[in-house]
Amino acid sequence: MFAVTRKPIDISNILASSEDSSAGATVLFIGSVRDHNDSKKVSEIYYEAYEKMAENTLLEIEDQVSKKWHVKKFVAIHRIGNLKVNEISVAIAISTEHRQDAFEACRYTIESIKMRTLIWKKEISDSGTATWKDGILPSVKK
Amino acid sequence: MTSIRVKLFASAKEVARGNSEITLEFTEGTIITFTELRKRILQIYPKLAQIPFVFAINYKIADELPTTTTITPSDEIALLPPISGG
Repeated sequence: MFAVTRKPIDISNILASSEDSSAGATVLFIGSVRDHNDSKKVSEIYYEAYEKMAENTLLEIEDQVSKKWHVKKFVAIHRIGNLKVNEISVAIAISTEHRQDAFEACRYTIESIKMRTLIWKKEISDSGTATWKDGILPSVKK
Repeated sequence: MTSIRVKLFASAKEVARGNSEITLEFTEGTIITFTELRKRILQIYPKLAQIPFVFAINYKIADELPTTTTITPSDEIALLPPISGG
């Protein structure tokens, strides 16, 4: 299960969606807005996405991760729009039979989301200064 | 005239004064490649030269397509600056 959403992310729903009676391990990753970056204060982050392509990428990641780590349930949700400090921007929950697969799959998923998903972030400071974060040029190479 | 619409995102959208989509006009019969498209966009928005970007065509990133690939008005084209999600 994956989505790009404008709604606040509900972790209890994420965990419920990752439940599987054949799984012995679930790893949950939560990415949230931090109050600083590069020694500057951040009050808000604005996320924008090319939604159709972002969802296509999340589907590809789900397929790759599920096959490689024998995933029972895969959940990855990225929120877009304006988020304040502490609000959740991305949540991933992956359940597998054993913990090694769950840890590795979850790590791979967040790294892949950051490297491949067509989402952009703009950091907004207390003073209202807004800066698009430097990032990775999208590429067809995986 | 042949019109090609290009979706813009993030810093590129800001350079284009907040337009999430721009329309580029080409003389009828022009063979429109990504090289031509890039040239035309930079003529209209020279500040885009300061932002690295790649194109996507019909939901696929175009960075490894042959330079001879042609673009038609029915293609969905997007201009993608460096990503920073997660």
